[in-house]
Amino acid sequence: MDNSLTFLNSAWFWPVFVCWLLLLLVFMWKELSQFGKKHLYLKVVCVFFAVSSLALIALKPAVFEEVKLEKLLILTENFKEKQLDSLKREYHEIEVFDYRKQESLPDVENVQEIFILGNGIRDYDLWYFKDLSVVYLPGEINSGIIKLHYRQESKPGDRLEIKAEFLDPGIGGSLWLEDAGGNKLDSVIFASGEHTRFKLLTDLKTSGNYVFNITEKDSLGNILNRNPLPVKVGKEENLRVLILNSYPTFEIKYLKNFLAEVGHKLVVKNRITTGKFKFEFFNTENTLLGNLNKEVLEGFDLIISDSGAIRNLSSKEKNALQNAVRKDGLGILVLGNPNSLSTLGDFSVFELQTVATTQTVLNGFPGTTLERQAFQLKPEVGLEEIHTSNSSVLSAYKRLEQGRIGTTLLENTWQLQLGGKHKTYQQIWTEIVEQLSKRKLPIASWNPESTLIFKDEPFQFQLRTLIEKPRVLDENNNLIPLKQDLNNSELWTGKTYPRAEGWKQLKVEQDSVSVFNYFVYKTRDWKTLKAFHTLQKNNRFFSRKLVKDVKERMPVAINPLWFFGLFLIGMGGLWLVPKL
Amino acid sequence: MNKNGKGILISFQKRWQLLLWLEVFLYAIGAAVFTWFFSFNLLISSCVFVIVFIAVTVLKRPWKIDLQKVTGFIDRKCNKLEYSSGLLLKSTEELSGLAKLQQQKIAKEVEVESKQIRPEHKLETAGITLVVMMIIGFLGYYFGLTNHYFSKEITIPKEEILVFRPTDSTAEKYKVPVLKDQKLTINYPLYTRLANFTSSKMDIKAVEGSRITWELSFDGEVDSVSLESVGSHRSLYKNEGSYTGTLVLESSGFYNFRFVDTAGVSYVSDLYAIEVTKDKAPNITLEGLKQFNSFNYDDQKQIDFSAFITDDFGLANAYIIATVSRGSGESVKFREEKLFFDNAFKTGESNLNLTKHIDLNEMGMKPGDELYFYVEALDLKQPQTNISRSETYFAVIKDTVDYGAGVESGLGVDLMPDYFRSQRQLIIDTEKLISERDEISTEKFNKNSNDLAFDQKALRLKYGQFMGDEAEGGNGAGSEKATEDVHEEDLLADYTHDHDGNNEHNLVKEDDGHHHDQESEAEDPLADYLHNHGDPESSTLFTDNLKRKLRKALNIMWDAELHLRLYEPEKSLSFQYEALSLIQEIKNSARIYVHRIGFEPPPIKEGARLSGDIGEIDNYRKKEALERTDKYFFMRKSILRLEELKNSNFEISKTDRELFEKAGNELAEKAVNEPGRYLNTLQQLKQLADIQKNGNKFINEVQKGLLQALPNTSMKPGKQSGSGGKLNSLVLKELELDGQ
Repeated sequence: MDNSLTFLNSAWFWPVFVCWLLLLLVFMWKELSQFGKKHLYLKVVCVFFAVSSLALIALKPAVFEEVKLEKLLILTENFKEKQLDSLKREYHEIEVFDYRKQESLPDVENVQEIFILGNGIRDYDLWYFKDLSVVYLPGEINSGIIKLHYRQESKPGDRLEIKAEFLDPGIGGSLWLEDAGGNKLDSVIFASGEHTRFKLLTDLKTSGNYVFNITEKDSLGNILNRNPLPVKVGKEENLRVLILNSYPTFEIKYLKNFLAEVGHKLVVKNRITTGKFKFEFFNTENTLLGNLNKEVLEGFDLIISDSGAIRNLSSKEKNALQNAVRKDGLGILVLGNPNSLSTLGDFSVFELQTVATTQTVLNGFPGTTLERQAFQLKPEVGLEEIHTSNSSVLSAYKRLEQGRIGTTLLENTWQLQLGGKHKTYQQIWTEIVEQLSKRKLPIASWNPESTLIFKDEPFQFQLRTLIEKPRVLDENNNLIPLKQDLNNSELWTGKTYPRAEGWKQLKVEQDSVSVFNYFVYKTRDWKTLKAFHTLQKNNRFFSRKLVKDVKERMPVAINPLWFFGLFLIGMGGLWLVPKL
Repeated sequence: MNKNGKGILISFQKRWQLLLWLEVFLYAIGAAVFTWFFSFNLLISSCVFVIVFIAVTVLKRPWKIDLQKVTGFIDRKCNKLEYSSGLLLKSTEELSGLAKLQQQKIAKEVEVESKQIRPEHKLETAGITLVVMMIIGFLGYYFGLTNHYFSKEITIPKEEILVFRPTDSTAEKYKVPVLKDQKLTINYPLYTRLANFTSSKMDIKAVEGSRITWELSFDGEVDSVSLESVGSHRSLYKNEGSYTGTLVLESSGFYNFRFVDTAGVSYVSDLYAIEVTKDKAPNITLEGLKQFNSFNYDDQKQIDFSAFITDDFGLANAYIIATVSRGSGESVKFREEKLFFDNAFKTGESNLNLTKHIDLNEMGMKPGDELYFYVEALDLKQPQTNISRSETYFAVIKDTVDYGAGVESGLGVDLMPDYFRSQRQLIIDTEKLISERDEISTEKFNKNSNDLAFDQKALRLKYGQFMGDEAEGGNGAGSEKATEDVHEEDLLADYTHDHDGNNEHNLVKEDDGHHHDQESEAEDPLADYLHNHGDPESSTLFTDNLKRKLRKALNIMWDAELHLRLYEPEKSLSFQYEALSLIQEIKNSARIYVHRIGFEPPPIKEGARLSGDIGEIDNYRKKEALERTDKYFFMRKSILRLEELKNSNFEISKTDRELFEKAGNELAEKAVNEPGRYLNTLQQLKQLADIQKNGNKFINEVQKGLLQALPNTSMKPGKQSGSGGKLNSLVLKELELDGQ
């Protein structure tokens, strides 16, 4: 029993004890001096009780008891009535909290068991329930889009591909993708009412931040709901490309025209004969292009070369090229005879396997037969595929520290141009050139924790930057506090609460270019998607079942009224004794 | 008597009813005419007519006039009848004696009186009402009182009324001149025979060359009115209070009006489309005809076909251009003729179904000649007519001699011996003989026929020699030996046409059959049975197949000769043709063997490549800017700007308006081809650029239109953004080390 008594405010013990002693002495001295010795012992007892009870009120003595813990029921969106009813039947006095009303959560620490019904607790509130015993009973998800995936940042000419999953569509219902102006771009019609995966496609026409819409209609064409789809279409940035050629080929000629026509800065060095070259400058200034050195190479994002031209470089030039690739991230595309790919010294990074066929249909380009060399790239660690045909790799690259070196075994693709298949040609070379080119390294890169950002809900983001003490401001120039990662000094996290819907902005004060645009949805947008996300998060979070020890003993404070009564008795005694 | 009296009463009753009906009609027509002047709407007038007609009918009740009423009326009007006309209605049997007397008396009276008594009516009142109503209506119309009611609203539907908006929003405080009347007249070109068209709708769709006249009148003083079309600007002239302007349509485009009021404030209207339709060229379809028609020399050389020709505004003319070509190579001659269709042609018809019968003989065509023809049709378009022509059709009379010309080109020199041609000469001579039959004596005819037979025989023998089997032929004509002997010298000289090439090149030895017989036997008795390839003289020149053909030809020549001998050149002729065609086949098959010589380049010495003297070769530098300028730059910018405006409450600034104007210009360039499609967006852009107008819905619509007009962008590789950082590069370095 001794062990069972404790003070809740035990930290105050000594100060309270000193006060108690002082008060006791003062009262004693007063009693002793004023009233002789009559009833003195009675008075002393009264004084002792009164002062002690005051001290106890302050110290809050508590007794360990086997507390009977309560159970809590939290109702969230789309809970099942049946589950609620049966729980209530089981636990008559269960406390019910309605999470939907957006009130602050009750104290959940001292609850024996929590039942959560419905879609669950939003991400940002889940930490409340860490290490608590929670039973999560998922609710039912309504019909609608439950999974949505698309590239939020693209550039004009890119194809926007929206992959999504639709739960329980109505038969004959349809889904329409609309652009910012409301033009219908693509649609899906649900012939059967089953769970469907689908893709919506469109080509992006112009740059800027736009809000597309996905509209759901029933079989009669009535609009059921419309959800915004933010799309960031960035500005195109031109590449600087150097083409080295030991002899002219059609492939290079057409590639050169394609790249120059779309506006890239192009320098072509074509060998006409021994020691004589033809220099061509497209969309750029006529500069002197002597030997390749650090300064010259810094001006380019990509070098397209045949193996002969690389072989003909002096060792100094080769070193400079290697350094530019490794340190600056320059890309090299080696074209030409695959046999000579292995004779390039440091630039020979690919291993080839022979195949019998010289015709191929690339994955992702059905219906277009292309010529290829009778080789394929050997799949190995570090080989990043660009184009494949079934399982054979035809275009790929390898990383050399910051840079990339790549090749393609496709041949005579220029015939596509002649055959009028411009789009295929453009797509093939766009993929190759884009993958290999030097990357733009932003001073700050932003990484939102979730793409579903709602009004008045916390939005957490990560920022990677080399800036020493970055200061992040929102669109109204409010400073957002950042937290630095313990292990990685370049990583910062911050949290903000968007107050309005629409496009919002975060920027780094030190660098005006580092702007991050994000879209804030209205609370009513993407209900099903949000519900499904929450449900999955909750399912994962509450998968471990913790059951609290039912017999746990808890210090329970003795009701201070007792001490107050004691105090009154003491005081009353002191008042009454002189009257006796 | 009784019946007579009753009959009079009935006719009186009918007259009365008729008058009442007439009265009803007059009231109704009066009301209808009156409303017509106010509404100019047939429907309203007819409704009024029906309503009034029914109302007055109910009041007058013409059907209520029965015989009782008639007798009552007559009795009242005429004392002479002593109130007894009712007796006339009853049959004589029912009446008492006295009544019978009275009835008879009255019957007489009624006959006289009924002519004097007029049925009660108010026809005059009705007539006067009609006239008065017509006059009031007409006067109202004449003095324009009626305009206030219907007519204006009906002439210009609300959506067609030109709406002018001030370009400066401060202008609102002035009194704005109001457009009173708008009129657009399209005078179609005369040849289209379309009536002139007047409308209040300002969008124009008309045929090229139409004359457009605008007429605008304003309520209030206006300083100037002008018409702005894509890039151009023309003033409208003031003419009797209204502003008019005309334009001859040449190309599609847009226009809008702008007027400046006396206070110097300018107003613009919406944008309207001009869509010019071109007068299409006539469309010709020929039926019942193959593209290539070939006839044999003995076919019915006739062509029949029909031509369907249609045009949108009527045809001016249609005919056939036929060209006959004769000969080949350098000696080819052409003759062109213009043929008309068999049916009579009516100018101005837009649908024609014409037929034509062409007889090649009538056109003077011979075997080997070719006819090319096509149909040409002209429409009525002014000043430059549209001409269209059908495909060219061919008709060929097969040449009996020369076919398979395609093979000939492979060989520069004709290697075949020329005497093969003499069969043709024989045919010509035979035909000549047949045509001369009536002119020459039978004796001469027979002789000539026999001579030809001899020629035929000679030819046959020579072919036989060519094949290497002269014996057969030589012995074949034993019976005529005598004749031959007699004529031997002259016959050969006169009729074998040596100059025509029987044996000009001496490819075959000319000798006498018997003689040869003996010689060959003497030289080599086995010659006939051997295929001696070593000796070119004795080898047969043909393959087995050809040999068979030649043998067939020789047999046919036998028949030809036979009929000539029998003095039946007509019968012989068909065999001769057959023989000729076989010989042609042989000739052509022999020509297939052509030497082909290609160009063989000398082999390239790889080692010597790129090692020549390059002293004078220098580096070459070239600079070019290939980047295409973006035709839709401002349209793109506008779309982005509109997106920003949509989601905020920004005011449209001056720079925005300039941007929208430039975007409008870009769109207009694109829209010229399809004005109808982009017109709405163009109008809205103009409104955005000129006047203060916004609102999310409006902006959304403009953006939608612009996005729709923007073509898809082609793919373009761009710069991707990567992630840098110390950690990143460290990892990459480590990875590579691991790899090695």
